[in-house]
Amino acid sequence: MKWFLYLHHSSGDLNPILFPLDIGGMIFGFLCGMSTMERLSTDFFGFELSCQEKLRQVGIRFIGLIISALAILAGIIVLLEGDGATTPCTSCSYLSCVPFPPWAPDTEKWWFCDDCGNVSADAKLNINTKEFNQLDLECPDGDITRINLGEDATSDRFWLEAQLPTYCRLHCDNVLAH
Amino acid sequence: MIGPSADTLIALGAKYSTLIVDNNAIWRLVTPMFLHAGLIHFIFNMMALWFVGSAVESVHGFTAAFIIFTISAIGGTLLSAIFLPQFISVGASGGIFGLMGSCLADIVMNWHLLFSDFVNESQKKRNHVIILVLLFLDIGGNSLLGMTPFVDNFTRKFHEMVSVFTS
Repeated sequence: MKWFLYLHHSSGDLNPILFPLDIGGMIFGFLCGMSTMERLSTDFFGFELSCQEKLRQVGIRFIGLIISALAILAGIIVLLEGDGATTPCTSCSYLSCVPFPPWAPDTEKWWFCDDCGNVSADAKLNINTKEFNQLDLECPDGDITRINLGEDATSDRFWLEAQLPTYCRLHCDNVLAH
Repeated sequence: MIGPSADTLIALGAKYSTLIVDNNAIWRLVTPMFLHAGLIHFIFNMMALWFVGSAVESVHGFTAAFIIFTISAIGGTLLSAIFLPQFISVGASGGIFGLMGSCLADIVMNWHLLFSDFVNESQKKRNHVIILVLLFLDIGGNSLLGMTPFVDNFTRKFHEMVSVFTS
């Protein structure tokens, strides 16, 4: 006879860093700054700007405004055309988070950029050996993956719970919730 | 962070891409700049805004500072909504970084004055170089820090405070 035990691993409620918000703000700030910031009067220092230089500065001012307005409009269209759950650029998440160090094996990084920190599984207990020898792991995207523990079979449920993120990274096709 | 739950923040208007798209809640691109995840987040962000914002406002005026802060905050939230739809976000940091970005624009636009022999003494030019190096080191450090996941916001806000004093 076999019994199931529900296991859950939680990495805690921590706030993720949202670097695109910051770097996006900085880009827009740079563009708007070109259009709104007061320029120092170079005449004061004895310089006289040429017509070409004046035209260039007016051009830069318009470019800053135009790009800012177009970027926001285009961004709103892209956002509303999407489903609000799928990113158009999966690699862009690396702007916010990069696993480190790159030379370490996939399961031994110092930190990870996935949703395997909060996964659950049903562990199957073999009554004869009194060990958990099979997991039905719920991957971050909701798929259930069956894992035969083989040599990792253990009676220690807490050790097994701690290993859930590793099993997730090794066996789940999609390690992100979305 | 000593603050409200994620559900409360969503009810108050946090950036949540699914709701923006499904409910046409475009206003959620504007409201996050007024919301913070907690007391610590709020205090450090307001300190940063006080230092950077007041500096920009005193030199370039209220209108310029207002436009830069608002558009940057909205633009930053928009990019976050598109590229990181899985995260709920709040905070004024997009606008604060926008003000920092506008300082970069100021430097770029007045580059010829920053290192002009006619305007600056040699000591001043050296100081300008040191300040520029510090500024770029600060931005680089911030970028690297931004690539770590789930770094608690105390670390991040501490770095933001250091950035402000460096600036």
